[in-house]
Amino acid sequence: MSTEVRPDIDPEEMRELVAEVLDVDTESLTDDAHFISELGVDSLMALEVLVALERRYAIKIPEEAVKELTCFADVRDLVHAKLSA
Amino acid sequence: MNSEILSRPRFEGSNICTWIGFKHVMYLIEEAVLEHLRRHGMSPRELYERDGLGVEFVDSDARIATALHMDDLVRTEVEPQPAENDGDVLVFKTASYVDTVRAATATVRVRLIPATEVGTPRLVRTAADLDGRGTVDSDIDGLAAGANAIVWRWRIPYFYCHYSERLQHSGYLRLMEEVVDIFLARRGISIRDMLAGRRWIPVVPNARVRILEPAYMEETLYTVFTVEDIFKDLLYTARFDCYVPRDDDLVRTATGRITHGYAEVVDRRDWRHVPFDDKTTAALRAE
Repeated sequence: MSTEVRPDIDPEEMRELVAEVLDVDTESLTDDAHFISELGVDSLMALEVLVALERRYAIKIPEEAVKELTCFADVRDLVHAKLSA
Repeated sequence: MNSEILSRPRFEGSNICTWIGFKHVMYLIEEAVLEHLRRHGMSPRELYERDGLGVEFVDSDARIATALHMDDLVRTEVEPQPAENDGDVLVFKTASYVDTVRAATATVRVRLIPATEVGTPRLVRTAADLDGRGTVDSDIDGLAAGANAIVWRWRIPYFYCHYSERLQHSGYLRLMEEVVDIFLARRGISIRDMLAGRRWIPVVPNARVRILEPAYMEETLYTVFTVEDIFKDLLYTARFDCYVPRDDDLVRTATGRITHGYAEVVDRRDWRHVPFDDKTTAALRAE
């Protein structure tokens, strides 16, 4: 997925937010580090990411979207897509 | 210097199929930090017997990324952090792995407390709740303050304590698990009912317990469990607060939070996350 990056959203702040929820170092949350195979994130922890994103960015994300969030790049693209909709 | 500790969850921690409950995940973390202390010349036994110091886990904040199972060999890395409060509080970060999968992480704070002599008289106020599980209501002594809560009043038994008098960290974890059980039963969605009716079990992605003040053996303890937030139909977060009566006040001795979702048991090996149904949401909202 490729989405236009909004200049008013700091992707590094988003990375810090997601890293905090997942309790991983920001450095290890690379764009393509796989949530399940590399970071050990299960569906419940992914939901917590969803909670944090909805609250921080005041967006609505359907639960089904969680399954498509496999790495930070997916999260960033999803948030940008929701904010641009 | 970091430590790496290998351990397995206690058999007791598998209550539903072979999955390990949050309390026993946090026990593993506690044991790993204790082993780290031993390896670095701070044997809890020697600290107590020789130096008159007790090891008190005053804060544990755990995230459970994926379920641990019975028989899992868990490798926990313990990484000391800079001490806080002028060196008074030792801080550790932990990460627990099964093979290469990171199953849980935590931040743990430990204080060395002066141990009182065994037999030191201490005036404690004990309620008459000596039978069963004490008293539970939607409010006791105004502690719920109109919130979506229950209050459980009980007497602290000796086997929740350590150093001959103090309610210990693992005791608070037990209380947290127990008050959830009581809360769900009171709201008509007990663990057994949900298992029998839906094959659902509660699952916990994170939990935290902080000890603020000592609570003593056989004191009356009020545990307040307050649902703070229900996110969509997926997760709910509740606050956990404990109080004891001192003079004319109720003193808060611990606080914490726990987040729950529900999972459906697929078979003896697997489960999948499910959204709350209307009955569950209504029960959580006290409707």
